[in-house]
Amino acid sequence: MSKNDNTIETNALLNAYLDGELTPAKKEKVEQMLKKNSEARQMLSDLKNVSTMVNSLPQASAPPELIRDVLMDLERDLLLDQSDDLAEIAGRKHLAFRRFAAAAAMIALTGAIAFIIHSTWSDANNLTPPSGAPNNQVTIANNDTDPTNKPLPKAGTTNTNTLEVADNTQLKNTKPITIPPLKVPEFQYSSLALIVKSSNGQIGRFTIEELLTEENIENPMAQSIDGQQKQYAFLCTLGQFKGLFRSVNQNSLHPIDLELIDQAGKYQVTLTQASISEAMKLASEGNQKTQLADLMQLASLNRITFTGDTSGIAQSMQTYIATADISLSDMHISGNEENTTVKPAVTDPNDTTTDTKNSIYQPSITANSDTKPDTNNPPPAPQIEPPKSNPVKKVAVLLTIEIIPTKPAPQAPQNISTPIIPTIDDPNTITPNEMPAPITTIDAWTEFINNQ
Amino acid sequence: MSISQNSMPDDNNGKSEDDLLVARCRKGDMNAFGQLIERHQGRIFNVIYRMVNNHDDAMELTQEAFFRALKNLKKFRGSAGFYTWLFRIGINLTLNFRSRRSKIQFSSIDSQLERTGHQADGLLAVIKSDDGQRPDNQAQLKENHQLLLDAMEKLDQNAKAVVILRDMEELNYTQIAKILEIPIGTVKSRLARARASLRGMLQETKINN
Repeated sequence: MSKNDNTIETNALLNAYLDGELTPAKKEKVEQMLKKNSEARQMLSDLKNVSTMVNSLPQASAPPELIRDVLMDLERDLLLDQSDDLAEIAGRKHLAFRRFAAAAAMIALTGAIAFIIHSTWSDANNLTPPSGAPNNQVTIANNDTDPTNKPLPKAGTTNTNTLEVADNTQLKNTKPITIPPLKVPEFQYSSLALIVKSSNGQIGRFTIEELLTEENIENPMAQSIDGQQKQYAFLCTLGQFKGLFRSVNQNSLHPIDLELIDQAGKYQVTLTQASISEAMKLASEGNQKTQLADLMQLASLNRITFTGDTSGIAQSMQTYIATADISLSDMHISGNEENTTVKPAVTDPNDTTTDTKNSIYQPSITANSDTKPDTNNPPPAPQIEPPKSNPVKKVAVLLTIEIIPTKPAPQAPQNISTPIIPTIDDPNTITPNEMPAPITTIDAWTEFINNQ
Repeated sequence: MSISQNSMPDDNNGKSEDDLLVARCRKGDMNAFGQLIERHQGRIFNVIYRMVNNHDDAMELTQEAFFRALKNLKKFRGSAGFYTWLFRIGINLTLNFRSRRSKIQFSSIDSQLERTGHQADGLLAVIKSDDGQRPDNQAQLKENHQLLLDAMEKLDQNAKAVVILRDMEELNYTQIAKILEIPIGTVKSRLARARASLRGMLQETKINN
């Protein structure tokens, strides 16, 4: 045996002796060696001191929020497991049916939404669908202050596909809210679990339904559209909606892959991956005319960190977009599939006239940190001034989620568009001639309901 | 803290309590989940923290370890004790985490020496002292700890795990072998190698100073 091997063996013996892991026989032999060999004694002493030093390192205390965070994750996961169990029982092909069946009350509500919105919108703005064209446009809510509102036509009438709805005072008092389509990378599986992949590879899952439940948004109605999109309709307060997107943006510990998808339209700012990089570069050079700088100035944007994966999203891309709880409700989102465009709504918070055409609610926003969300110290919620006319309202929300597979996404059909609901108050409301191409949402829902 | 043959909680009076809590957890008792976390969060967090040397990462990994352990309680057979099982999950997560990171943070001992100046001498004095007395000066102690942490950061992750479990958690070789799912002989060799490396790095600090 070489000298080196002897050293290694001695070292191992001494370590085991130090740790009390030797048999009595071996222990005695080591002690005899130690008596005779000063080098061995020195080695043992050094090992003991190293061990003592490691042992003396201060104990790191677990953060106090650890219990809370783990329990939250567990509760979310329990909900996910429950929804998965239901899906297994019902079968994937029957999942939509079971959800619609379970949300029977929402059928009438959806009809109320379409009925009231169509009535108010078309009447208040003299906007009616082109004759002969199916009225697939989903409109939400109305402005009850307009005395010229007329009720929406009932379902089954010749020129519309709107659903018959009951009179709903609450809906009448809601303010229209435009929800941009929400493109969610890695949004897959029938349970529609939002898979969040953090920068270190940790993955957490939760469903949109769980998010809605968290915000106490009850009885959401869901509809899948040709496997590429899913839409949720629900009533909620603006605060609930903000909370929904706040939780999406600050899910657990991980940043969320989030994009705003697009529709055609005339908008001022275009955010593309390339333009973001360029804008950031120009912004850093003090160029105030960059699209990004303009956008930030107009909408007090927060920064959301993108963590990419192999699906084509940049490995690391930072983009400046409006947080939903601040600006999305007042902004129209459009563009094509490659680009995301954002346009801020015209605002006049001081306008108190009954004619709300020029008095879109624009909350005043305190500056938010543009750093990566601190999971231990989440940033405070932005200070939002309540609307002056009605501090507590429920809005009808149509949330469209586009499913992006992990493989490169196929080209989306050109005739699919998201229901963009212009606000009554927005002077830049899209005119009928500029309406997006007809969509199938109401058709699909109506057909499904009629087939029950 | 003296080094002794410390047994894991599930080998002494804590074992029955863990078993009871696990049984309650399996019935969906969220309060039991919380109690299990409270019982073990300090130790598991400390181990993971010393492995990754980053508070936020340790928080995430600890949270994930508890989440996986509690979520998969139905797979826990109870033969090794909940604590062992939890630690196994935590260590594996940590080792996988470190292997995935594109950048491993090192702090140069040389840069530390520039800051600490003569502290290396004090550190070596601790190593060489026969009675292992620690410096009375708390600031020097803190510096010594930092030098030790820097040296530990350079260890192989598997060896580092063994050192931490042995010298910080005071687990015996058998317990460590269960957690890491390796033979006891491997535990011995990794530990010996790790301590020798630490000893060598700390001695080298004095030579370079």
